[in-house]
Amino acid sequence: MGKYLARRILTTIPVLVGISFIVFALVSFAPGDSISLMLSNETVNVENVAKLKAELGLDRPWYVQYVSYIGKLVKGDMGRSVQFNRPVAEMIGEKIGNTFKLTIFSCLVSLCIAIPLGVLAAARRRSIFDYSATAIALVGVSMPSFYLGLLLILFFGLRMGWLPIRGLPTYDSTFLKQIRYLILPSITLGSSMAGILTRLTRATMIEALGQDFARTARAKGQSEMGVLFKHAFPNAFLPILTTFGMQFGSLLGGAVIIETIFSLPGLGMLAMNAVKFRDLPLIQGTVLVFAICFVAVMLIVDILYVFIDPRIRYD
Amino acid sequence: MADNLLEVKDLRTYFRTEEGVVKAVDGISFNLERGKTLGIVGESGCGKSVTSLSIMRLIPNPPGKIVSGSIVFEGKDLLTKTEKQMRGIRGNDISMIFQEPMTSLNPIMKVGTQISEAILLHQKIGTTDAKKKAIEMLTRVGIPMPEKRMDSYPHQLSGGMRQRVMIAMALSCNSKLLIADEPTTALDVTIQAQIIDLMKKMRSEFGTSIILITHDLGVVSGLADDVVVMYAGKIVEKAAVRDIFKDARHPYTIGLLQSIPRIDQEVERLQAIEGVVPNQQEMPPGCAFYPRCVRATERCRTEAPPLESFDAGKRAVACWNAVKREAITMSDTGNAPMDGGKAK
Ligand SMILES: Nc1ncnc2c1ncn2[C@@H]1O[C@H](COP(=O)(O)OP(=O)(O)OP(=O)(O)O)[C@@H](O)[C@H]1O
Ligand SMILES: [Mg+2]
Repeated sequence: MGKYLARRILTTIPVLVGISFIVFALVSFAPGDSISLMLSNETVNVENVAKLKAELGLDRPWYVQYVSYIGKLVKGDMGRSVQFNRPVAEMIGEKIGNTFKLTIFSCLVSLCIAIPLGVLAAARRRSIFDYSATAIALVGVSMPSFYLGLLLILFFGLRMGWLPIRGLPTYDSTFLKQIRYLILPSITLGSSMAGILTRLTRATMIEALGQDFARTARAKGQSEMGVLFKHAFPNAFLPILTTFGMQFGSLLGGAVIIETIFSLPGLGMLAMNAVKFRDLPLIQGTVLVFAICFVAVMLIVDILYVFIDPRIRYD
Repeated sequence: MADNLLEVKDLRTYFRTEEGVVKAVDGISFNLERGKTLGIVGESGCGKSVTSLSIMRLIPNPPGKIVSGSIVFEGKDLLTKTEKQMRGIRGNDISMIFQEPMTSLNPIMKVGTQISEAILLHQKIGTTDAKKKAIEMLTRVGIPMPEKRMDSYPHQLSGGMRQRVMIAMALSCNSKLLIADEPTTALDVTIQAQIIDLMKKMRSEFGTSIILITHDLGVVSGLADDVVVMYAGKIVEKAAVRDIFKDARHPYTIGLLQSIPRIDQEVERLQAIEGVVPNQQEMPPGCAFYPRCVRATERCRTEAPPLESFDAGKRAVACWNAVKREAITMSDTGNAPMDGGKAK
């Protein structure tokens, strides 16, 4: 098992190299260079441009630039934001916590909705409950999250006034207080994942309940609850876990939009601003961090798999 | 009266499907004496598994439903029991093993845990004692290094070993009745023989009665005392094992017998019964076997033959033109004893 884990962890290295290259290429090979942006307010003369280029090392061939980019990355240097003239790493460090809170909360919300709903729908197949769960899941999957977000703001925030609709207080605020601010954004962000996972849970549970081992469990006198949770669910959980990992990618993408709608100061909003101002180092940094988060989640999913499924342990 | 552990009377289990009602089991009756083994044979789809699942009350509903009949186990009708009472019976008084040892065990649970689970569900003992009991059961079914095997997962065992685990699990609560649904079909021949031997040993050690479901008459001859032959949800013949092999009456049974490979006869090819089981929608009004039967007459087409007993109720056959043993001898010898079996 140790070997398997070591191998799995090592495979992330080429992935990370690939990501860093794409992020690098995104900027280096994109049309419109950063120099002209930086100098847009000054009187441009050719000499200045050349000087700045040399200063920033942009006159070197791209592979040399790439190697130096990686070298800096390894040391935690992601460059400086053009817009704010601050180290990108520092800015990301300030905001990443909020994005973590939002995504983890959204995952929790969607798992807490999807798993009970899917399990019960499978257990009471073709009942009113099953049909309603399927309908709710369909709405979750198909409703665009920004639209759902606006509806929630309108109803719970403005009409009823129950929940705050924007921002996340950081001064003098406990996590418990922050939770109130996270409820609406998390529901919005988690809804489509919840829909997808509900449908998947239902399908895999129905499959597991029809398997021979479920019949064996019933034949030994196990109750329906015992069959559901001791036998069927652990087996159904494996595909759920995989899909959860894959969906986490879209969740990160969604965070960009949701943070903007709810004015949550996180990585997504930072990225959005960076794009607006064509702040290339900041774009690079945020995209890189998003990608690394996704890779990390996939890695965690694979490691969990090894602990849950005995069949893949010694491959 | 014989000491019957199980009496099944006029059991009917139907399935509601999109094509209409499937009468998977359609009015069958049989008894099982304590300590005896009853074989149920018949082609695929004739309702053997549905019969056994009906006894366990494990028919998936919907689409299935036991629509009538009674299943009297130790004097009490199982069909009147609550689901909770049935849970106390399953795995405890009546247990079951299945055809596919590959998929019948939970793939991500240790086999030891799966056996202990059965014990813990029915006996008031702690987990350590249950574990001890499970190890003892593994030893009794002939699994080497049982302590070590407790921690194995099903995929780490061979098919034969897995079936041994199933048997250990089924007998861990000293069941009075063991229903074995094609326990050897998925195994290769040498392992089949080992499992049959093991079942014999377990039967004598535990005094368990067995219902042995199979489509292989060879397996029946090794293990069963009596045989019930099913065709399309109905019983077509009932007899003691030795009578079936010596003196089968129903043309379908004879067909089944002729399809067993035998060492003592050099046959060019095994005879298969021509045709297939008709599906429920095109079931003929008369005998279900009529379209495939070599002895069919006009009457068979229009009128279904009832199951009639003979030999003082020891045997029964449902056929208008049942083969009479004497009749066969007659054609061989030229004599004509007019009254062979009482069978019609
Ligand atoms: N869940 C179900 N839904 C609909 N029909 C069913 C269901 N289970 C069984 N049947 C029907 O009941 C009939 C008998 O099936 P059964 O499984 O008892 O056959 P069998 O004799 O055990 O065959 P085999 O040798 O293949 O195991 C079949 O025609 C099948 O179509
Ligand atoms: Mg079957």
